[in-house]
Amino acid sequence: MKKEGRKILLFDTGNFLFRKPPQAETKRRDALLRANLLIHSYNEMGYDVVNVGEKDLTMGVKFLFEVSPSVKFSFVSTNLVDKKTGRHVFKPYAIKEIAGLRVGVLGLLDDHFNSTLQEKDPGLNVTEPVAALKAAMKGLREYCDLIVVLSQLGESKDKKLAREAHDIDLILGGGGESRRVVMERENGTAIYRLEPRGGYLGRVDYSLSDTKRPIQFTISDEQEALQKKLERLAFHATQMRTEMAKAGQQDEIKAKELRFLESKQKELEKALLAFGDKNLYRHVVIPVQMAVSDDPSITKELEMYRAESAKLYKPKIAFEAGKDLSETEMVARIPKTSPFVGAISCKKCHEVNYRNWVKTKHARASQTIAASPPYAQEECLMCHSTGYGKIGEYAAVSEIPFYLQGVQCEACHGEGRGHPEKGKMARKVTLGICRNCHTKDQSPTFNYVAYLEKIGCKIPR
Amino acid sequence: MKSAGIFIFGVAGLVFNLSASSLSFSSPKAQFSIVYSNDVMGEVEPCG
Repeated sequence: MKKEGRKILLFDTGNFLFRKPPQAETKRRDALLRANLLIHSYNEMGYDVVNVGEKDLTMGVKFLFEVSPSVKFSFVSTNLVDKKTGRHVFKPYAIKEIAGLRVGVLGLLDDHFNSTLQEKDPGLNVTEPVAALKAAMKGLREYCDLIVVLSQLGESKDKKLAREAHDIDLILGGGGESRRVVMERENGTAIYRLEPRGGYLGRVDYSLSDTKRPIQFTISDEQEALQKKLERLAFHATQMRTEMAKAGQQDEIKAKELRFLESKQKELEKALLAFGDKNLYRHVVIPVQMAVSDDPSITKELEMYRAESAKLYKPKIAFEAGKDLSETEMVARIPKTSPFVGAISCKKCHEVNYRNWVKTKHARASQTIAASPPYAQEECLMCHSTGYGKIGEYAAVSEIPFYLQGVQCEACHGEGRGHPEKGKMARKVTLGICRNCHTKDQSPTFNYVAYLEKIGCKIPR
Repeated sequence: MKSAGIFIFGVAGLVFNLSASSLSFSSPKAQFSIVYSNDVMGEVEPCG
């Protein structure tokens, strides 16, 4: 896009450097290596502004200060202040010029994290976000043509923000409890957020026809409906192109279908032209893995990181897999203190379900990542084992206790300790439960009904 | 790291290469885009 002279601003809404605080020294050093890789990559990608998320402060604000000389983008935080002086720790906002317009960019943290942050950095204070934003926007609205807020407040607080703080044009969200994709308008403010973990990019395209100030951007319902249809078509066309490229051979039926999609796409684009000389915007979701090819220079950096990271990990003694134990011995070895009892305990009453489960990919989910390098396993383990993060944070497949290996019954149905003595299993398995792991980027072909059949749990006991 | 890896070298490719789905608005005086990412290192809920 840049090469073609397209004008773009690239933002990140925060929480791009770290996850939770690493406990072990190895993990801490690995996290620092990875953070440096991410900063380097963001520089290369030409990010303009990044909001400081609470997880970006995992290693303390000192880390961000230390890396700041090498950072080419602006960190912003409108409500992170020094507790003593009340001064902003980072710039409260950034102003970027594009296409003759001035874009004011602000960043918000949730003050809910104040106590957690102050444990590491007692000198920091996160102030109430709406008030901080209103104060920072005084004068900014008159000076800027577009106000963008990069938020870590979460979906519901973003809506509240849009209702209470007028004059925001765009909220790009993140954080919060919900991981739902958001594409909404509240009080005239567009609010967008994507699924976490970088599988998608969002793009808001602006078209400026009327330059009379104050500049107003609109999106009509009809135009939006057409827009959504166009996005769906474009998405299917991209999927189809990817599938055809992967197949590596000409498929006439698919090629015909693709031509049809492309002609429909052109028709819709033509219909959109009828919206005349309004200043318009539209939102497009880009699936990174499918739509974007790898960048060679960053791939090289990634490989270098992997090599450095691998040096940090020493081989560990394999954890007892439990495979040579009898069922009785296995059940006996499951710690009574653990909230998880393992599928082997469920078998006692749900034998048919168990025997079906044993044959599924869920049962072998840990084995499928056993060969992956240690630095990659922590992220994989969340979905390739049971109870990760709840009773322990093993760093590699070899460390998973046998009764938590694979995606066992309790991964979906919840912790089994106390069942059936204290009643039914509490958790009903819904699409949302599956979507924790079968995300659109990791599991693009996921179908709730079809996959439920595959895992053999619908059989009555 | 896997998804972060995919993400970081993917975005660079996007910034430099993606143009297939460009704007289709009527002869505007100017066009620009805001591209964004969120929660790149966001966690998923533990499976259990």
